[in-house]
Amino acid sequence: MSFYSKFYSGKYLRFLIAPAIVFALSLIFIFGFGIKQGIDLSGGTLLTIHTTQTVNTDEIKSYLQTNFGLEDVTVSFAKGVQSNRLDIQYLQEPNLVSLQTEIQNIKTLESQGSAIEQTKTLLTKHSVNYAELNLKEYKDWISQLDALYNTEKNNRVNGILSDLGIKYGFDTTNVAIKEISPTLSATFYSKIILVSIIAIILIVLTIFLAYREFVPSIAIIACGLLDVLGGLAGMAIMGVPLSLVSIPALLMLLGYSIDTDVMLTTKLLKRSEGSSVERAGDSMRTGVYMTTTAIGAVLIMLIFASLYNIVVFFDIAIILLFGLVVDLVATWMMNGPILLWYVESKKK
Amino acid sequence: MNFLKNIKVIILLVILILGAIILLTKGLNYGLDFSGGTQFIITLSEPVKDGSTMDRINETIAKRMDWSGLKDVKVNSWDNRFVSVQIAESDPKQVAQIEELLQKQGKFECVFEGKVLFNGDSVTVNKSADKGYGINKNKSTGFEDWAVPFTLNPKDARNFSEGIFHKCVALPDGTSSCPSTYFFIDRPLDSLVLIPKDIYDVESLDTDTYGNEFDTAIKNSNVNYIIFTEFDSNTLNEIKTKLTTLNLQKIVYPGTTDIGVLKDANLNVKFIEVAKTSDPWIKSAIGLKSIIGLRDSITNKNVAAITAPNFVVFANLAIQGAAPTLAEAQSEVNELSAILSSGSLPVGIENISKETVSPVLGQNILSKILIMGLLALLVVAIIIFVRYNDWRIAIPIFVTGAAEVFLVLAFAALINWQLDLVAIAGILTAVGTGVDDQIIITDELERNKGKEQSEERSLLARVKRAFFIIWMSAATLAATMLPIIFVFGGVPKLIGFAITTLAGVAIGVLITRPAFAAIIKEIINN
Repeated sequence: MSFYSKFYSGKYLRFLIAPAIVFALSLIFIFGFGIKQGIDLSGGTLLTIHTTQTVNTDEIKSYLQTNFGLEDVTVSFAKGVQSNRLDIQYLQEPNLVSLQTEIQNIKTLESQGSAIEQTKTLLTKHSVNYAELNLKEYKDWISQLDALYNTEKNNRVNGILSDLGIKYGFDTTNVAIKEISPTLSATFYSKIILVSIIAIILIVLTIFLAYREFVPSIAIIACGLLDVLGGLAGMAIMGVPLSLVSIPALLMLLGYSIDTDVMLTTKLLKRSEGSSVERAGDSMRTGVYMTTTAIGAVLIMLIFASLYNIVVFFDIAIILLFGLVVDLVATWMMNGPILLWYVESKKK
Repeated sequence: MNFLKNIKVIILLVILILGAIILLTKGLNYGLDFSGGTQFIITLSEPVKDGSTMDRINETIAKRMDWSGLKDVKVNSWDNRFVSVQIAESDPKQVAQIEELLQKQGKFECVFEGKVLFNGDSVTVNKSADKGYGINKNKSTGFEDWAVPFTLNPKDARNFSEGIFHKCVALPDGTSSCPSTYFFIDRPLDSLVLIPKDIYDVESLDTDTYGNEFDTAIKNSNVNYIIFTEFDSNTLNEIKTKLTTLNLQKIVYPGTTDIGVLKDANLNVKFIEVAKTSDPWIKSAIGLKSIIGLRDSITNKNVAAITAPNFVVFANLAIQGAAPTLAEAQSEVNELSAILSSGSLPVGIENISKETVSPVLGQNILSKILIMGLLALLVVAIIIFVRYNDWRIAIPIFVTGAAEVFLVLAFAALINWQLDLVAIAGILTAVGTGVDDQIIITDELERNKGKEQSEERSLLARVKRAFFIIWMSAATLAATMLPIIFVFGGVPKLIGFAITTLAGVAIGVLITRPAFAAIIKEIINN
């Protein structure tokens, strides 16, 4: 008799301590380290510089803070085989913030006349010769304000880049720039929340419709959620931000990691060969191999992503890796014991 | 090899062949991550509720991008408020320039005596040959004369007619001398135009194109320019002074001029090269489209005052020109009509978000990703070999996984999906779920191999039950991935992961797994 067939033969409810520990640890990691929001959701600017140099991130960070007064700067550096990667992300630049406030104030003025007057003052202050622009109506002036903001924004970014280029000798022609405006990030944010809610509702419905029994359905969903917590803990530990890449990956993990639970539940509830303990052990044998192969593949992806500095792969691999490891505990030490207890108590 | 006769295996083989044909004929589309480029997301200043306005915005932006000479521009809008524009350019300076072009309103202007009389917003193009729209061969010059007639709205028509009132001067010989109106598109008012002396000499004598008005044309444009022979210190100083005193942001120069000296001079401006076409260079440089001389009649010569009852308001005008070839005349007409009829955006632009991807990874990363994928599958195959101690099981799992990758790629080619890194990550994870399912099938069949078939345990029943689990896990995955496609549908770059995952799962459940089950059943039975 193997490890698997003996696994549930003892007092299996004791296993529940393991998922409890995993749950607590995940929460500690998530709230202890915190998960930062990626630029998609927070808005702001992300500059990615590929360089062969090795740089001191703290030095660059304080340089940017003192010279440009950037807010919420994070600077991260990763080595790769082909080139190293320097990411600089910041939320706002004070001059732009004040410009934005000024623009907003003008836009909310009730009198269009004084709004136009103030626009003129602002344009002059930023040396825009509005006389040549042939602005007639109120809306022409207002759209000029937005144009001014955009021009200033680009000037700032280029200023920062050329400054870094001169100081550190980076090749600033090969820079990737990502800018997400506050309106866009707010839209992304509300959309991804909506997606998550719909996804969770759909998955709950699917499972309840398939099994039509309360305890097993709840157990499957609880497992999925614990896996997602594991993925989140992985993000907190490895510094993977919440983004439009990582949230779909978390949802994917929710849908994917459930397959072992589905197998276990199906075998326990819908079959009759052998004892339930045997069937649970049987399922575990299959399930552990399923998860092991997946972890093996994800590890390859993770190594590859680190070698070539491919952030998208790295983020997804981290989430899947942590989620799948947690899934081993969640499925076989939480769902397994709960279902066995449920099946056996039903028989009595 | 009996399984080759199985219908499910035959279906798989047929689809694999189809997939190969699709991949060979259509090829794969690579997204920004591999080709490099920029995606802009434009936030409009207000939501656009009606579809035709949104179409117009998309069209205008697409036309404008085409016009700027960019290729492979993709424009699409979502949520009534956002327009994504994808271009294959990632150099920050160029990108900033394009961003500016996007923000521009696409300005057509009619300038008279240095003042704007009306702009593109007041204009409706008459696309009818009766009104003169189109191209006619001029027998005497041999050129193709073209014309784009348009109607002014009443307010601006009046404004125009008043603006040119009594502008012709009677000459002693009984004829009149009339000034001209100048039509511009996007006059480079924020630029300094560098005119090499040799171009100036040739073009200022070209009376065919300008009459005698070369100088007046430049002056009327209000564009700042200098005429120079070489970039000596005097010229450089002049350029610097003009740039700073007039606060100019760009330098416009002809492609034939080497501006290396200027680029090294730290002028902090953008350089815009304007190529020489069949038109005189200066026309392209200042955005001049047409010079139209006035005639006595249009200036209301015989009317006493603008308030007089017989004062005539002219609303129907035309932009005219000539080109040496029919093709050039046609493109001129098309461009003008495009800008005039869908010229400026109907709503303002609040801000532009963007993502540039430098082609640092390049396409060579693809072969590495392929190797990684095969390596991952190999690791899986090894784990499976260790488990079953039988290559006859590990190999089909490996082959099925590879077939799934292949079919998802064929699917992407079929729907012209742009493959980005996220999409490839989606393929990898989909194949991961596929392997899981294959393990379930294998275990289900392998488990009771030696036992008697006394219960309802026929192989068929076991495969059926394995498929319940497989369908369930496919359904849960669909439940989490479908909402992404519905909610983010308009932003292709964001749903690539969900698309390929779902495609992979669907292909797996419908095509590859049934075939795998048939094959593995055969192998285990022997």
